[in-house]
Amino acid sequence: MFTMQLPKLLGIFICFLCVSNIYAQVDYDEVKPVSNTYFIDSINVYSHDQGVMENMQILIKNGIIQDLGSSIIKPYDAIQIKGDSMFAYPAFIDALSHTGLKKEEEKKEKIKVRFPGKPGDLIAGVTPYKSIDSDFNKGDKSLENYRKAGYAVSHVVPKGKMLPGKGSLVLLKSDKEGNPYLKKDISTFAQFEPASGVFPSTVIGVISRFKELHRSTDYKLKHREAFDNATGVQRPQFSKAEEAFSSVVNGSENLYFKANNHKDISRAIKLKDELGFNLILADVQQAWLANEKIKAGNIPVILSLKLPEEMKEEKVDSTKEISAEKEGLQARQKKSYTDYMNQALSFEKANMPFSFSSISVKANDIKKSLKRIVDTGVKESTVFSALTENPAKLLGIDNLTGSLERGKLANLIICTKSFFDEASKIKYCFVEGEKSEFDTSEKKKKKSSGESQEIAGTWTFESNIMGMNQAGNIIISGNKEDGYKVKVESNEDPGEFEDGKDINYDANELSFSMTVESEGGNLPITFTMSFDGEDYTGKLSVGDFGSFPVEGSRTKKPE
Amino acid sequence: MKKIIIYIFISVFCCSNIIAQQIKKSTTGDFILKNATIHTVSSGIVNGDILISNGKIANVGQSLNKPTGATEIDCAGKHIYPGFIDSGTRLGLAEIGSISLTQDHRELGNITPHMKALTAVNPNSVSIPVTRVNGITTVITKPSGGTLPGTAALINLHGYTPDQMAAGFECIYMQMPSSGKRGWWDRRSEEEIKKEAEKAMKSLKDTWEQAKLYAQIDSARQKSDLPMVSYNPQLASLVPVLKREQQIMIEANKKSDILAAIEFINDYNFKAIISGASESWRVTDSLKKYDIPVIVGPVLSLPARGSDAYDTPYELASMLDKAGVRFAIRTNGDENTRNLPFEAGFAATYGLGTDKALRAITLSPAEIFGVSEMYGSIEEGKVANLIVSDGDPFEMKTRISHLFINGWNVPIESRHTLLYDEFIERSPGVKE
Amino acid sequence: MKNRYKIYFVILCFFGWVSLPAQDLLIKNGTVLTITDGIKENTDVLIKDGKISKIKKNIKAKDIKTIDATGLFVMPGIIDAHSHMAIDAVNEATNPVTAEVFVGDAINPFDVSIYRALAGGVTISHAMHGSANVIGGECETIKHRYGESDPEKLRMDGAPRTIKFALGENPMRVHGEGKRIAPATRMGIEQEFRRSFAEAKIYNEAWANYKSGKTNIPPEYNLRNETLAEILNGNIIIHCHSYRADEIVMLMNVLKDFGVEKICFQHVNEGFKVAPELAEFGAHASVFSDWWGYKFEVYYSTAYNAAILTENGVVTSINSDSRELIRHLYHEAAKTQRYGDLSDNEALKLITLNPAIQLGIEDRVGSLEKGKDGDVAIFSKHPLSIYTIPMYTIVDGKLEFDRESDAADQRLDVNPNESIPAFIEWQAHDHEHDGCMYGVKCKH
Repeated sequence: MFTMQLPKLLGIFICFLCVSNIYAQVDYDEVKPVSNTYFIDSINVYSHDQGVMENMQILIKNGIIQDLGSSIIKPYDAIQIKGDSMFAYPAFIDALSHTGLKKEEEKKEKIKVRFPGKPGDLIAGVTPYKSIDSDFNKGDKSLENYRKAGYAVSHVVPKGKMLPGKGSLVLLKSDKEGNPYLKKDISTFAQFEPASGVFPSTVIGVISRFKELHRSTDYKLKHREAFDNATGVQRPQFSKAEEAFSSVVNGSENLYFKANNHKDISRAIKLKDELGFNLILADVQQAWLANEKIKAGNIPVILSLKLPEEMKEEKVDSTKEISAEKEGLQARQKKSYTDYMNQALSFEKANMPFSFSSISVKANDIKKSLKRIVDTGVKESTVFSALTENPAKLLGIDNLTGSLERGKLANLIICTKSFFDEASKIKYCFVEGEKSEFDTSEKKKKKSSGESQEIAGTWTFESNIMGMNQAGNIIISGNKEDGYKVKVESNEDPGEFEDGKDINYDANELSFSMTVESEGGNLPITFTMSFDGEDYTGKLSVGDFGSFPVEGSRTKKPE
Repeated sequence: MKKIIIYIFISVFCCSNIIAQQIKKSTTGDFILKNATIHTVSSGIVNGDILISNGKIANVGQSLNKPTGATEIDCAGKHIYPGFIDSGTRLGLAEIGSISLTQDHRELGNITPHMKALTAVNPNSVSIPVTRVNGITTVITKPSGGTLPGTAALINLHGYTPDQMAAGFECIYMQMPSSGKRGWWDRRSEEEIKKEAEKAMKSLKDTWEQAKLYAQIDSARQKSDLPMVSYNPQLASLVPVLKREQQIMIEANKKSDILAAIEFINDYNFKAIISGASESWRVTDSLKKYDIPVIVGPVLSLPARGSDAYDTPYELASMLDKAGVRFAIRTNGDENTRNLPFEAGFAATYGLGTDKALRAITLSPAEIFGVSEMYGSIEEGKVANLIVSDGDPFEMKTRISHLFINGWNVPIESRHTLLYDEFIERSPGVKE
Repeated sequence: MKNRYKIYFVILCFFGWVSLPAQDLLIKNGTVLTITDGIKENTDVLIKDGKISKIKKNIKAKDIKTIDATGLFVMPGIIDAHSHMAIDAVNEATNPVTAEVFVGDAINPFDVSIYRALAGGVTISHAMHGSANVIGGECETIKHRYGESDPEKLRMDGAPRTIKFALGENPMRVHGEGKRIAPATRMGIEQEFRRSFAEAKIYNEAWANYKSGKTNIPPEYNLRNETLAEILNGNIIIHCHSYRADEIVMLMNVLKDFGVEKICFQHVNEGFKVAPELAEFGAHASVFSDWWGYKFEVYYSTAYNAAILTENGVVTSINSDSRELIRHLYHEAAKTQRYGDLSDNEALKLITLNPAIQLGIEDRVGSLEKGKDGDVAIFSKHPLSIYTIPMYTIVDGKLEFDRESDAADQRLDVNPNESIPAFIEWQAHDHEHDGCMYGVKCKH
């Protein structure tokens, strides 16, 4: 009996070994994250309704904003992130993109089709059933560029010809293993893109194929109804494309139509009027001529972040007379340029909400485009809405994200200054609680002249620390070569000086620390100051309470 | 015997019928055209007669004597004009556009200046009679393709061999490397166009520099009466141009290309003509300064730039005229060269005026091509290229009744007129 | 010339393409060439709400835009029955039969060629599919309402549907030679028609049964067959690119077999050889004034074509098939007085009433009569003279072209990234013949 059981026992033993191996596997090349709970203090939080709320705290746990307020107690297992009076915004949502998709391979040979008039749906580009699954690179390096630009969620659609497939909502995480889909296959994407060499090879071919697909699907759905409700009815034969397109025909899915220029916009609207599907115009660059039609049809619009090239100011040669013809041509170019640039402004003026798509620009250029749009007069709040709450509503995820509120997903970005500030950089980006940190150090090129200035003298300081204005004087003695000595006097206690320790001065940046007695104990305070002539700006960090901006100017030079 | 007579009678009758069906032939000899309004072009309008003899205009004046044996043609109420000259076509070198083997103007290769259009002209091209019945008696026909497509030739539209058609002028035809788009289908980027133009320009300059060397070596060889070392027909054909013994016609249309052409002409001291010249109105100062004549046309073409006024090509000739630039008008056509008088008519309408438009297709091209002693106006001693019409040949309703080329009376007949005769009232008509 | 450019600033302030509501217009004291009711000297034409309301001497009208036409010639706006302007796609050349596509889906209202056509007195053009296919796509009759940015506003509401067919070398070259797909011969072309019509007939009956309730299951939906069926039902006018005499007769016989009556042959260079047959069938012909010789199938044709067809009782028009030629259709029509003996009115009919008949819009345009659309072209001299200049062109009562005051730069869609538009060397390629092959690779 024992011998009979031996193989069984051996088998069990081997299995046990394997299993225990699984549990015994430890990777010593990496260290597991300590915690997925984050506590961010003294941070300015952007709210759509209330603007900037100062000095708040945010608690992130399990990928959700657990709490958001001004007097949250930090849990013991939370990783603290110093808010330092930085600015937190809801992370951006890209209303339409091809982010993270593999580059389309160069076809080495052209596929020979015997009858170009009947190439089959795949080659014709009629693939509304295709999901981004097969082409999406999870945790791809390109996603980092988007996080750096402030994005956490993207509505990614497949690449292709006229009906490339279904769009999915993706969380732009660096996690290569997990499931990045916030929601899968929630939309259908279309564009006026003909196939090459086969039907449809022109825009009129594309439109006719689209009409045909819609109508034939519609009829087949009626046929299916008859089939489901009666006997003796022949079974309807849906093609793969028709099956997938049914959701557009019966209105359960929105159709995102890429329409850059005015003609494409008109054509997409015409198709909607004829066939009756839910149209969303995407990556629009020339909308203003069709504003009325868009408003009348209540058609949601996603504006493109692609703007015309900046107009170079032509050197005016006052000796040469510019011909009237050239003047006229330049004036016309200027007007056209202004029309394109003012697209978002025209929507704002007409009270038409919109979202943004990055599908035609690179991630690195997004901030520049946003700045240029704000420069035309669009309110910052309008731009923020277009990047966050508007696409959230459009994509049906406004209960999950699009603003910084308790209970929503922890999708947020933290900028060193107000987002549209010239010097502002994104330091952190949280995507469902997964943190990305970016280098925000100032490039040394500011002081490329090489010389640091002499900073000896008496300097004022002013700071607003936790709601209380503090002011005083900082006296710096010494010089660049031999080093500096620093002492600080507060206006509340004139004459009483505290000496600065750990003094460091390099490239016009001075940092030092000191300890101040207070009721709660000794408070460590660190000053960092950036000098520019007779003024400076900087930060003052107080113990665990966070960092606060400080600024001042020189009142007395040394003798 | 009666039967034989009847048979002979029938056969003669049939023969004459057959003869009546045949195409009419040109006739030569002396002709006297009487009582016409003669538009001489060179010396205004003369009411009188023209005597044609030995292929030339023997006399122009009032009440001329009719020599014995001369054919008299009553031209009362009619107008006589010099035969029109088209300064740029592919007539005789192109038969059917879609069939490449009927096209003889485009040889392979970029540098082929030695290709002679004259010898390749098809004297029996169906397009030739179609063209001349509208009054065009003489055309420049030119090769195409590449930077130096070949040698263009001036031909009269009558004769059975190219030699019979030759009108005594040939020139090298050159295409200035173009930095503009070739047409609506030209999808090359700005970069690509610029690169190609630069490459072609370099190759062109190299060729001319080599031609200079060749000229030096060849003249030295000839002086010492030495034999040829190698056969270099391309460079050999360019030597007369370098020596200013032959003219060169340079096709340039874009403003920058025209300016580049002018620079080229000055560098090499060519005796040159610029053809095409669609943006010449922008550079009339330079053209006037260096007295470079210009061939413009077709008048009926689209403006070169989207922002140009719609009638810029219509007004081009007039603009050049006002600026004092010498010019002539061409159709740049093949089978529709016959529209030359109408192109001139449009130029006349849009600022040029009838007289100057007429000169632009008669005396001006003759002067530009250096053949004005033989062609271009109605004067004693010139070649008898004339048209007789019942009115202004620019107007549609006008009919041309007689055509003389080289003193030959050419029938006003072409494939088009013959088809008209056959089908205006078809027999049989509709089947009952 | 310089003055024209100075007007830029005025136009800029005015935003060139804002539509004025002015559809009332009074044209005073011109020589009115009515086409259907003779010539009226020193007569006024009053247009109200876009329609001609009065034609008589000394019309009194208050507060209305007025054009002084003293010494000028007033004729109906010119109609071009064959054009490929103002559309973004011409040839869906991937199949010999593509009845399902429609060029009206791709109208480009910003095409500056529309303005240039207006500058030649043309108020309506028939934007057509190309001639690469035996049965091409549906075409669109457009009014030259230049300045409208909505493509739909260019469509002539109520104009009948039309479709493009093509015979001869073009479809044979594209499909037979190019892709080794039938047809490669004129025999094959005939069978293409017969097959398409037969299948459409079956489709038509199946859907008629469904629509009338005889069956409750919809048949397979096919836009191509649906369109072909509409031809059989007489709701679409065929415009057929054709050259050779035999193929013209072939198509008429096919149509007889399927009971189709409405057809206008286009180009039809050898139409004159079968003019009696065309007249008997009631087929129309839209021809070139004098293009020939560019293909073998037009090698044996004549510029007297239009004259012969007209004399034999065929409704004939002259078309351009070219962005360039459309600008002087008045001159092309006059050629029938050099190549033929047509009278002034017969020649003018070729570019007004006749193309209107061929497009099925003769109740709306084509002559100056009360109740018709206010489409007018005014010339400095008689339109058939070489010395005439188009001065004003009016569409639906709106002055769209005014030679004296219009600016040179009439572009609507300006590229914001460049100030000077590209130079295009139109002279370089003089094969503008047969604009029908746009979009298909040309050998030359």
